[in-house]
Amino acid sequence: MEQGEGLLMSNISKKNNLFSVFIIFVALVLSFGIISIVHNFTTKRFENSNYIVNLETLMKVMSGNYEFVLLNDSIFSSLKQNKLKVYKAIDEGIIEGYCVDITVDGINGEINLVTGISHSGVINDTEILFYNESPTFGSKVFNDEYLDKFKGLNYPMEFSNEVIGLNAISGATITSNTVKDALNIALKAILLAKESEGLN
Amino acid sequence: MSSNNKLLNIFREGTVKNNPVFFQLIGLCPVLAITISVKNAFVMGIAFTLVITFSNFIISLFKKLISAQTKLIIYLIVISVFVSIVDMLLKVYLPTVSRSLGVFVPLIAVNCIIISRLDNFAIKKNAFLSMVDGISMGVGFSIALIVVAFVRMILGTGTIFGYNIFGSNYKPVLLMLSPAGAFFTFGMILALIQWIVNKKEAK
Amino acid sequence: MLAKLFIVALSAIFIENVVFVKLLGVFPIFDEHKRIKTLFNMGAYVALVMVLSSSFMFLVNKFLIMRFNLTYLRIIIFVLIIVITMKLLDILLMKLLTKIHNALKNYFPYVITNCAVLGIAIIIIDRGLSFFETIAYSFFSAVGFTLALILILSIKEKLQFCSVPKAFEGAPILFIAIALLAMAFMGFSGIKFPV
Repeated sequence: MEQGEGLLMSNISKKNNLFSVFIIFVALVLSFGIISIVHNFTTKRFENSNYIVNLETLMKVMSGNYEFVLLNDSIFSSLKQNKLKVYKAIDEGIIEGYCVDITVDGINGEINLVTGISHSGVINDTEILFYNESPTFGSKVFNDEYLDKFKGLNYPMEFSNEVIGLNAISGATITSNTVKDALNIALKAILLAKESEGLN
Repeated sequence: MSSNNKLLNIFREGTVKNNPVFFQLIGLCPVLAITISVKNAFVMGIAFTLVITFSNFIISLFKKLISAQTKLIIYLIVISVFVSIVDMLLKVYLPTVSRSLGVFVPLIAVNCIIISRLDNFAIKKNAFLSMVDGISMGVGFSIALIVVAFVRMILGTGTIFGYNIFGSNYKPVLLMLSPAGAFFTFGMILALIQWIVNKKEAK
Repeated sequence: MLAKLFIVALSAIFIENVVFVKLLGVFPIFDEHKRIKTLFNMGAYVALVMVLSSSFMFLVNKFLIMRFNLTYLRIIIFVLIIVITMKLLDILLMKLLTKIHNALKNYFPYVITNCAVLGIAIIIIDRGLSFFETIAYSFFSAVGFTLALILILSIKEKLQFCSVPKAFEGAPILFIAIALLAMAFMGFSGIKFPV
């Protein structure tokens, strides 16, 4: 009698287990399906709205009306940057310079900037597009006056903080280090771009 | 009439009497981390409310199919679906806010508040009540976010929505915008609430 | 190689400490965790879960998500990975080391809803670290997390003997004390490594 009951119990629990697994499977299929459908619905708008720098910004940092062509990401794979885009600025068939759109991870969050660099590797102008947590420690630093100090510099950029004129406000120094790092990477990218252009 | 009262009770429970952040002290990570701007806090609050409301609703609808063994996985699957949808919507319609919020939108999926509400409420009560409970918890969470963000923004930047309220010579307390400021603000708000509660009980 | 390990360790434990700088995995120590030894157990458990799930996520990301461009499925896949990792760990421990399993069973809900596990994994993948760096970074983040827990618990013990205004008793004064700790960790943020 007891053995029979024991078997019956195990029967029920086996059925329960199978049912549970089935429910989980259905839930998984449904969820993946729903997410994919919503993704298809939103993906077109997403690609147009974000992450592609607009023409106006590119022209501003290069200080001129150029034609901008996006370079292939594979040229810059050695820099190991996830969010780096380089455009070459062309005027009448001659490459006048490059624009670099780079996002780096700073202590205070992401900083996304676009900088225009002449063909000789000298920074023309820089524009900060996005920095996380507006306003934050470093935000005092992000104005035209500060960014002007980077004009005319080339790789490798080593300058003391006195040149920039920063106070020892904790955080302000760090964020400007991030900007400096981003610009250094941009200048390195230009060197790679120039190499690859030599192959064409 | 009594059913209206019941709904109101559930709503008050979530927002005031048993506020998930200030009284239950769970799900605190977003409250400390992203409350640097009121706009971010507001959007995060809305995103959270949407996720918890719909999750409560769905789980409550299908509560008969969920057994004790599978409930954790089912909860997480359902929550993740809604978090993914909300994340995609944010990326399209509010890209700057989405980038500011960063990793904390996916983190709604493992937020303690949602899982505990699903386990305590949605699995037992009916669908409509669960939805109301979800909304109430979401609103309570949003209130907490906005209050903390407000304090940190006023003290940390001296401006509200661009208006300098302390005059242009005000040197903002930058510390408020740092993680230390987050803990400090939260502790002070908790103290204030505890003081109010103590006073009420003394009467 | 060792130098890189040291840099990763220093970053993960101090400069970008999970609790005091990144603000992930914050929760006031509940009364159960009264002893420091318990915290070591919990820290080890979190470390194991973080390392295993981060590496698993790295592999899935590299060979599944990136190859087929499925970034929109990232959230649900990662959450499932965490749950699966924890359940597998549970089963393994139950079969092999029952004593440890009993001790760790209580921490299950605290680890599953811990923002740090998912948060650190997403941060690692967004930064594009290599496999070895992933393991190192997640392990040392867990070490930093344990360090934070131990500091908070020590302070909580000391706070019991202080006379605090009534409104501040309990959680409020603990948070203010944690704020002071966070300020101390802010001091590490100026350290910069030569690239």
